[in-house]
Amino acid sequence: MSVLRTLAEQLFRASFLAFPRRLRVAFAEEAREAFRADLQEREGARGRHGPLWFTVRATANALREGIRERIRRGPLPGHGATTQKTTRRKTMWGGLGLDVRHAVRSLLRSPGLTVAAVVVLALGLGANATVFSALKSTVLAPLPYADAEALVMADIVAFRTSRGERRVMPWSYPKFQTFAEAEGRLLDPVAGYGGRTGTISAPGDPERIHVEVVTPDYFRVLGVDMVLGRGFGPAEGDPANPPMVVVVSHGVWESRFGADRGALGSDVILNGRPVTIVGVAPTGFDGLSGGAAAWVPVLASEALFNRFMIRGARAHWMRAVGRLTEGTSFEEALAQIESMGASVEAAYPSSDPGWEYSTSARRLSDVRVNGRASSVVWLLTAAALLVLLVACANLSGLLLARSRQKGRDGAVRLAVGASRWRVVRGTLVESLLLALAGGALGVVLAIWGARGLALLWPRRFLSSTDRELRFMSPDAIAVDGSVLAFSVVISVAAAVAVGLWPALRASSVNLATTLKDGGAASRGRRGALDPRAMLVAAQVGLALVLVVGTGLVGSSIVRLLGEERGFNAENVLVFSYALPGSSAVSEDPNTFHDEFRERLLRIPSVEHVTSGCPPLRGHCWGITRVDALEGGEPIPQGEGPEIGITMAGDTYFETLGVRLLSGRALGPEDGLDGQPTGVINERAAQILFPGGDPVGRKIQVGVTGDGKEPLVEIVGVVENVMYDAPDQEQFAELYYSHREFPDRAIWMLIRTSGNPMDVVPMVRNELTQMATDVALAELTTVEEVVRGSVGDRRLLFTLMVVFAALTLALSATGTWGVVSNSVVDRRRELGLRLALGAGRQGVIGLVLRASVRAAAVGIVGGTVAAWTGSRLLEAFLYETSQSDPLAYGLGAALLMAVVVAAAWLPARRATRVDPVEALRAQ
Amino acid sequence: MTEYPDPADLLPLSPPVYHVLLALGGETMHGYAIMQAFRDMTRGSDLLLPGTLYATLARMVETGLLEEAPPPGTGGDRRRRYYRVTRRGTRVAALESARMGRLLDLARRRGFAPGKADS
Repeated sequence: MSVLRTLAEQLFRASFLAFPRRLRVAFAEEAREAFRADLQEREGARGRHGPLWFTVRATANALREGIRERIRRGPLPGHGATTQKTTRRKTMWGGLGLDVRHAVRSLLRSPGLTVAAVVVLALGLGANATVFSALKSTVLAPLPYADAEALVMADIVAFRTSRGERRVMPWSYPKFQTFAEAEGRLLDPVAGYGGRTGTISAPGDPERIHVEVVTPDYFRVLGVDMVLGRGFGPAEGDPANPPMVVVVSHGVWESRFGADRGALGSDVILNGRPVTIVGVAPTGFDGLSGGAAAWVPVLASEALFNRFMIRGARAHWMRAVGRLTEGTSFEEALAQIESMGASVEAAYPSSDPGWEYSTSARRLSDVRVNGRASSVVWLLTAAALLVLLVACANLSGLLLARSRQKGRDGAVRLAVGASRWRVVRGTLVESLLLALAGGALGVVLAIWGARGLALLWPRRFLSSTDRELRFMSPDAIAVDGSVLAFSVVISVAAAVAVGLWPALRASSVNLATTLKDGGAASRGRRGALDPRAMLVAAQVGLALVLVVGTGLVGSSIVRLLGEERGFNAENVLVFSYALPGSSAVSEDPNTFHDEFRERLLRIPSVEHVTSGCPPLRGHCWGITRVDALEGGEPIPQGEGPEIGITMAGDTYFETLGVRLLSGRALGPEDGLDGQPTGVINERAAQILFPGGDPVGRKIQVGVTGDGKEPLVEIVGVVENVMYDAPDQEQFAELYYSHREFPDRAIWMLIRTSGNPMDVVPMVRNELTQMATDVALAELTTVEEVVRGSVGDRRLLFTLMVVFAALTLALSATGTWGVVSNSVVDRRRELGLRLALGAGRQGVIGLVLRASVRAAAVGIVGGTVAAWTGSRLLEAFLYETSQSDPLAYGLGAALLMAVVVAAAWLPARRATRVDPVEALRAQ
Repeated sequence: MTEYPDPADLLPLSPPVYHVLLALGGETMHGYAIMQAFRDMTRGSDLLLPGTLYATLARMVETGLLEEAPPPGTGGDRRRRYYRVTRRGTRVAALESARMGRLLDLARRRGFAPGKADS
């Protein structure tokens, strides 16, 4: 994978910084190329000869050689040392092994502290490794195509001249052809593709799969070679002879043919038609739209899907992707494509006068950006970094306490002539060992973390903002070499962050006082926070930032889930299926649907069964405009209010628990020949008939697009049902009876008395009895859909809760540790006070006061930081102000409570100091 | 002209220096090619890592064992530095090889290495 390679190269390049400038200038570039070439040769190898091991060795080697170069004057490496050189080397690096041994021994001597330190670091580093596993696949990973920078997406762009609105649209096949046949294109080859759902049956069980309908050059544009057979070519471009062929994914080849090479040339049944396998795609390739299991040539789509896909000049379903010709820049291609809009428009003029059409292009690498997903990932990265900072502050506190105990040790070493550097190095080696152990444990935590993250990952985060371009699979969120490399780097950074301060303090002790008073250094100035209290304040402040952010997002989720949705989500099962295009049952789909419904109703615990769009999944039939109101003002073409269309079965409103506001619901009498009827929602009633009663009135909406739509009589008004995401405005909606437009593909909704998932086996069984080549798809419950509707916020919130809890726990233990230590340090003073008659309360207050003061400093700083940082959260807040006083107030109170609770135990212990004991011990 | 130390003072050579001399032989190569040549010669059992290689090359040029040379033929890559062994380098390599030969001979007599001792 090339992220890994890039990371490895960066790591190696960074290690070259160890070299003196003179050599770096001369050799860094060449060395990097040599490294890269060697790395490439090792691709695929494992273990000692693999790229990972090589990277580690080469990097460590460059570091070592570089540092040697810096301290050496002699003629040849590794030999002929002058005396001067040896001494310098000795002082700089000599006895490093000794230091390591010393550090290991001293860490083992206090196992409690060591384990605590490793765990604290593992939490911080594990959080970062987990989030990085998502970051690399969402933001950093390059597109998985050869020379992906040359891939360009061409679009149709629609402008609404009156409102300055701009929409990027897919192509229709006839328009795409006009574009593809133009002379001297700078985008060559070019291909069109679009995703469709189809049913594959025989060999094997029927299954709903994602199929990409593509033009012959599709695989050539992407540079994808078949592992078996061929991709599409000129043979698939002959309209007179529609090719009934298919390229199947590696997965289909394995599961349905047992990876048999004889599969080539045999048939599979797709949507009831036999198609011949001409090729097998490589492992991991699943099309630009993602998840595709089969590819069919566009000319076969008439037989497999519907004829509009080829003939409809206004059926915009196809995306176009092409490769820049050799030596062409993107800007040149863009200019050419933009100039081609006119010829496309001339060939197929638009019927909508409010809109102007033109063509444009985007780099594929730009299109892949899913703004929402990358902001979530960057926010999580920031949150994880906060956790790590808290962990570092926490550990710093622990080591500082230790370095005070060890102060005497350091002082002795300094006194007998050790250099300051040696003492600093000793402490740094110790924190480095701790950090590497913590990092290793963190990686183990991240393996689980990444798994959990992949489960929580919202589906819409897998695609770019354009649904037709998917750029990652949830499996990509996993710990791999790049996560390991990242962990090593941040572990080392954390080690320096944690160890440097204690190290410098250990080396700058005042020899005389330390050796004399037995290591218990005197307290800092009164009034000023001592360093350990400052670390508590830092932990409290950083934790507050996370707690406040979590509170803000949480409050938004509560508000979103509390929005009036207009339906009862409890115990409703949803799924879809499609009848194959050619079978006998598809002649009259409604008869099939009705019989299936009758059978389902006989299942015990099933209360209602209906067809129709599930809520919160978008408008599954589409959005159109109201063209006319009977008896109303004429509406200029293309200017009428927008309205969503839903096909509803007879008990749709009952099944979903939608309230009828006036008139009647749709029933068996609707959708037959004669006067078309429909039901509208409250919002439509407000827009179309403000103040009046819509029942009995007639409207005309554009459904088929031929301008000859009949008037629809409104028979009822229902409550608004939420079809779009909860933070979007409520749409006007028109419900038709499902009999009005029979469709082979259909959504079914089943209300049950118990857990809806319990009836799934029986539902499957009924369907198999009716038809063997039809498969259930997109099976879920409405409750699950409701939870998914806050998906991206849920992901953000869940992780923030985990991170906030971690920082709270760390702050609590950090405070506890610091206060415990200070009680020990101040035993003499506290003992004196008690001996002089200070009360228990007084002593507890004295100890608590210091912690409260530190926490207060932290809270003030944290509030400012949280307020600044909450701006980044703005896009994820819903009816919650980023300066919501409740979130800040509760957060501050929570942290203060945690600190006081954590300081309470050691404070109580302080009152049990025996004055005589304490004074004598000194 | 730069005063170079007496070749004998350079012995024994450190492994990377000797490896580079062996890899280059009489040819002109750039750094990565030296790395590859060495790996091929030892069938991958020994590694010359880029960090060591370039540090070593710089030192060897400073001590006059190698010199920079124009790319051989027409296929050279101008962004890269090419090296060849100097006469002095050849001499040092010969001295080192002789020294090692003597050691190997001793080792054979003691039965540490297979083969027969020369004398």
